Amino acid sequence: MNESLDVALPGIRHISSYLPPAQLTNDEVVERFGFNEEFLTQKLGIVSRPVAALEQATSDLCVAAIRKLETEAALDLAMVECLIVVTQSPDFILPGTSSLVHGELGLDHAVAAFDINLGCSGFVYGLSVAQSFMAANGMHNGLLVTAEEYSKLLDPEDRNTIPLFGDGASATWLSAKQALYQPGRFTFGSDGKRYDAVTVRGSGTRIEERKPLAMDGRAIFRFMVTEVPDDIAKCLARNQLHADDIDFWVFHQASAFMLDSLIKKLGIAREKAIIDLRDTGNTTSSSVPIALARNVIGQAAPPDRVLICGFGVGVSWASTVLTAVKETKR
Amino acid sequence: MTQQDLSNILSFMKVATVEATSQPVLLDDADFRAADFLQDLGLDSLDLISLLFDVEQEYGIKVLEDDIDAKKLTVVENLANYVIKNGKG
Repeated sequence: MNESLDVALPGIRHISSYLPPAQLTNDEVVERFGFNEEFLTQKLGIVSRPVAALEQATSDLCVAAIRKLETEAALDLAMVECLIVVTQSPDFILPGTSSLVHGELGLDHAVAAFDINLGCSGFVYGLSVAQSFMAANGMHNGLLVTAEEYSKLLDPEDRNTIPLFGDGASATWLSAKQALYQPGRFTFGSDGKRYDAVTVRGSGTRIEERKPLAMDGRAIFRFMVTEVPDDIAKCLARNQLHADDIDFWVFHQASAFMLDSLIKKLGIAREKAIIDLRDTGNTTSSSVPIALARNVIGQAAPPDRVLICGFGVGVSWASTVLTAVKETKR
Repeated sequence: MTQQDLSNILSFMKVATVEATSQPVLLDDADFRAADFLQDLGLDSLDLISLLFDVEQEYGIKVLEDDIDAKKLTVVENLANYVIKNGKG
């Protein structure tokens, strides 16, 4: 670790994603729950959902995403100074999943490893935490990992949730050098009074019967259409930008109909907003970085300004604007 | 649309409710019309969106997301009247 704190603010150098190979297809969802196939494809925007193997824990998804980062971006793990894992479906309540990933990868003892317990807003929060933590401690290279295995939290008979969610992970290399995108100012929000919009009851120290994940979809929808447009307006103002200045919008990939509603509410051009969950489903904390990895990072003509926004479990939300770093400044 | 159309729409919604919940609807017609899909008929949020999608396809209308809460379209009769008002028939 560099003892000098005079380190440039780290930005996003690369993002890799990992999706487990097994898929829950619409054919199976239709057979099990009787939904109209066109509803799943058109309204939810989902054709198949990755499902982690029984023996594959969340830390395994994290390791797989980081291994892809090594391959795709020539990451040298010896350079890593911090490892932050965002998850709400950890291997265990304790220790943190970051400890298992740290051990599995054989990272140096000097590496700071910790978890962040957030859902769909987690990547955006994590980006700010990672960037601030690295800058405050003079670190040059860090990993921000998101991973969720909702398949193991859901009731297999629950027609309200099974069609929506997919398992997946992302690994973001944050570096003071050769960054492709630099986050701008962030906006954050929370409304703990609405905590029960998405819950896994009986999974912690509040003693009650263990339940599968429960979601009040209407509550989440209402929260999205009321809070998220305001937060985006604040984020644009805080970055001294207008909606016209944004080349690409990457929202949490909740479902196609929720994204359609948000896009209409914001009055933004449909072609500038990503809807990319056909083969992923809603991967919660990983949905924004997976969409970035597949649609922004490494593209032949990457967009200059990308607004990212996560919202969901908590309820919690966060936004920022990513600005492409000119090659001369990397 | 005619009274017959309203009757057909209500029948369509009753069948959709039974398909979503795998339970028979035990309410009489008046109670069914006053029932809320989420609170009284046992549909969950995704079932409701699925039912609205089926209604859109069947009657050639577009149910606006904002209208679901504003016009209380989770109530059977309200949704049926919405279909009559906005339908092509």
